[in-house]
Amino acid sequence: MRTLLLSGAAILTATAAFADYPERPIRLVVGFSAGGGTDTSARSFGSFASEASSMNGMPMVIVNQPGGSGLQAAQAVAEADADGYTLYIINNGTLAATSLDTPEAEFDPREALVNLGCVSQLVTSLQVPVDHPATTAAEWVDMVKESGETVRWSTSGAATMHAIVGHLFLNTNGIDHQVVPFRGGGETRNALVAGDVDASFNGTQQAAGFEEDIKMLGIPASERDPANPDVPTFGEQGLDALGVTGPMCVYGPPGLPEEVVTDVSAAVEEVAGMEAFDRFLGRAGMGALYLDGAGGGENLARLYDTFGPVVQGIKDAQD
Amino acid sequence: MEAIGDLIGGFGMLFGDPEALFFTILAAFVGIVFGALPGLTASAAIAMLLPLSFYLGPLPALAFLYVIGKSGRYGGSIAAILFNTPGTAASAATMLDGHPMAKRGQPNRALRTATVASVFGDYVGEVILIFGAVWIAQYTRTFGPTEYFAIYAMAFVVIGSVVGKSVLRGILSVVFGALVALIGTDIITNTPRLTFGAPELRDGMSLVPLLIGVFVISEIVVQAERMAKGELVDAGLADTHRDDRLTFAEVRRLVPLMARSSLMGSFIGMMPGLGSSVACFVAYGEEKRRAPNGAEWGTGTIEGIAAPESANNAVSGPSMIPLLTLGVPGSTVAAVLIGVFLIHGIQIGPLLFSDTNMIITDTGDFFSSRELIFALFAAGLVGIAAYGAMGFWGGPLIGKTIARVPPRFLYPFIFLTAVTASYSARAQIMDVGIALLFGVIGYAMRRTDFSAAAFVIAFVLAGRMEESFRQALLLSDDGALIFLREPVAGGFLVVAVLVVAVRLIGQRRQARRVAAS
Amino acid sequence: MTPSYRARIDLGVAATVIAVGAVLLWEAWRIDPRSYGTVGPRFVPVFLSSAMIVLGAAIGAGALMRPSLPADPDYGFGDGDLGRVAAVIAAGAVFTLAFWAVGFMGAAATGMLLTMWVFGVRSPAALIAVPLVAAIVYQFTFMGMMGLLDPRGALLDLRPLSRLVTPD
Repeated sequence: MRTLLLSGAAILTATAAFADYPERPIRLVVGFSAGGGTDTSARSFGSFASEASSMNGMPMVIVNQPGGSGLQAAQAVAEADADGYTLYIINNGTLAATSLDTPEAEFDPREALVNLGCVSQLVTSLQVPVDHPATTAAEWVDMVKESGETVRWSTSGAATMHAIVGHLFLNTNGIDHQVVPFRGGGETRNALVAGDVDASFNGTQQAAGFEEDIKMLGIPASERDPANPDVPTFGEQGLDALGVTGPMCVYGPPGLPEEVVTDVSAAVEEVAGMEAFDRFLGRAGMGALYLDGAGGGENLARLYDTFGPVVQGIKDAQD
Repeated sequence: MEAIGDLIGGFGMLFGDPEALFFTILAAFVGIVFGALPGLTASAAIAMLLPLSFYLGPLPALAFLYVIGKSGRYGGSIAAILFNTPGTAASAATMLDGHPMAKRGQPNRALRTATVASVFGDYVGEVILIFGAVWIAQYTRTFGPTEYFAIYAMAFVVIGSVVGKSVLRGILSVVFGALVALIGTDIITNTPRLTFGAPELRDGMSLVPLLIGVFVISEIVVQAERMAKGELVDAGLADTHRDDRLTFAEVRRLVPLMARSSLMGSFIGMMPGLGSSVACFVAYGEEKRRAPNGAEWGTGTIEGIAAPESANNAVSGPSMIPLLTLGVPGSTVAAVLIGVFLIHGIQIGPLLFSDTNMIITDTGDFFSSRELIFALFAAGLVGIAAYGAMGFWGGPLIGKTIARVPPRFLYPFIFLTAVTASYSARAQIMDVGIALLFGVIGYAMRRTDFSAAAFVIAFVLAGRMEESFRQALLLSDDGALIFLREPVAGGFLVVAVLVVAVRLIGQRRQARRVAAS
Repeated sequence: MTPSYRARIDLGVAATVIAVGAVLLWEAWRIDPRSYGTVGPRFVPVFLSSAMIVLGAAIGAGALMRPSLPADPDYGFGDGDLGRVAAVIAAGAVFTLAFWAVGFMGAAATGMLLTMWVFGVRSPAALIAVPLVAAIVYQFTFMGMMGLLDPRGALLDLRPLSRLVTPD
């Protein structure tokens, strides 16, 4: 019996030493409740990830740890063992906006987490009622400035990525405006459909299926969004481009072994290239879009620099 | 009649989704068992199973909880008839005739009458829901924050003033529920509120531990008290069964009575806050007054079982009408369903009936929310049939089995499930403590005539009510006048004032009558 | 005239409601009122907690004005068994504490044991076997099948034991 146990232990250590990562399922933490938008995308990513060649067929198991708009889970993953079996998935826009708006948490994801690549992106767009005479964002800006009226616009919270983009766009273009924050993208869109607000800064995916009520005039990205190729960027229309999109990225704690970084990054790239994954996102009005770890990290740093002054401005405007 | 086509589509979607069909049937069974457990209600079952539903797709999750709401109401009648437990208010009227009939050796006759009446009432209510909701939703589509504030305000006042024995305590229950709901970060300014400096409270109170505290833990506490006094289950049934069956002719005789009671129940169900407990006594009283054999009621007549059972199950469908068309939950079951809709990213309100509002699941299926709602209606219709069949042939067996499980083991298991379920919604240990705290609060509220139902509904509604109030002000050029300038909003506010006035006058009159006699 | 049982309970209810309302009003007053509109985040909480105090006072006034009102038999705590109530809640509190200290599986066994004791189980065999089986079943169902977050105990890490039931 004793020898059996010993030899069993020996085999275990031997396989551990020569094992190829991953040798057991990976916990992919989601900072929101099961069933929400982030959770749905993460579960889809997790189920496709096991098909990636570098994952040895090991699944990614979704663990929900909601709290503080994803911040609590981010902190937990940052402090987890750096063995590659606890990873985090979140949208960069949400991550930057929440960390900046919660200074008392003293959490800086640029240093506390390592980006392992991104698979899709969340894009804000300027949305107006379909019967509005303006056909482009530039026309719309001119029209509302000429009318001299205060633009009342709905968005998905006080300091979410969409809200920040809205403030940024309206301030940059010198438009007199009043924000009306709603709880989430669905209510934000409903306020526009019901005609309660003049405009909306909301995710492009929220307009999907409401083409009879809503039109999108532009997006703040530097390039067109592959999921909505008909919507021009603000830059194309001669406005300030802003350059803000929120890629959905996989993060790990700092100090991950080389093998883990390589394998997970490869899996992220492979999933982002899968046609079935793109089709899945397409139904939700989004699309697959790959960014490597360095690109994802740069994006987060850029969002931080852009969002910082706006978040402060939102706080000041409430005085 | 577009709705009929959509309903057929709904059946197609339900039967094309084995998971949803499985959970619909399972819900019929789970609801009967929980309802039949002395003291436990459909709300308790739903509170504990809600976290599980997060892991299901939207249709299975909604169908599961919705059907539990129906079969749980029915299961309550088993406890009422066989065990004479007044635990579930919805079946309290059923007990008046059901238990005497069971006691004199006709338990199956009583149970079958209850089953037939429940199914009849539930179908009437469901049909009214399907056609009524679609019809109303087309008028509420253009409602914005101004109208919503007025509707929420009306719902608050109406629920507070009609739900309990005392208007004052009903409204206090609502105010307290609203205050608890405001704990957390304000959505409009991101300011933390009422958190007492605890970062854990920044996200606010979660519905699941609150429900578990108020509906499950407080009930376990009450059962523990009863056990101490040794007064748990009063079976006391006769050993020999005589004429223990229900004939087809008798059922036919009951049809007009069941139809009247069902319509009464449906109408009461549409009013937010007035639930099964009101419906069953109204129907019982009204039918007893009409009945030629009124004097025999209370000794064990089939009419006395059929009237309250039809009425209390007819509440189930129409209580969803304010939820689906306005986003106002008419019952605790409806309040919980809001949470399920939201967790699946589905906005409640009239846009639910939009066939371009797409929902996507994590398996990649997608459908419009209109399709989802009609599939849910289909699940309701299937669920009624399922609990009817299970109850008709299996009701006595379920009852006897439950009577045999020793409560000293049963309630500890329910307790462990309850505390674990309160953790499972958000994976926070603090939520277990919150569930216990609200268990104590729920117990004290029940002992002092406060209303747990009003508290829970207010908790669910208050956040949205405050948001819509402030959003409407942000949208308005002339402040609070916006609420009176909009005709629809003004109308709802006037209704609210009228309801309270009528109810207060009624209470005063009653008090004077009591004082005079 | 001594007030009736109902009036005494009502006075207690009024005092509790007013006290809770006062604490909430104090906390609501500390909310940062800055906002875009005239009605900021502080308005509604202050309004509601004030309403609570006023309504609580109304209940108290009612009890003082009609001190002889009889109570329904199930009103108040007269036929209650507050010891039992406290015992159930205490079992829950121990469960919560154990959850924090030694993780879920240990807490499940402890909580089950105590609740069974409160409900009157005294058989030693049942008190040992049932909590053990319950802990394993609940660990498997919630942490295993539902994939919930299974935190490490803050004082004692029992995860080597729970891994026997739910391997990572």
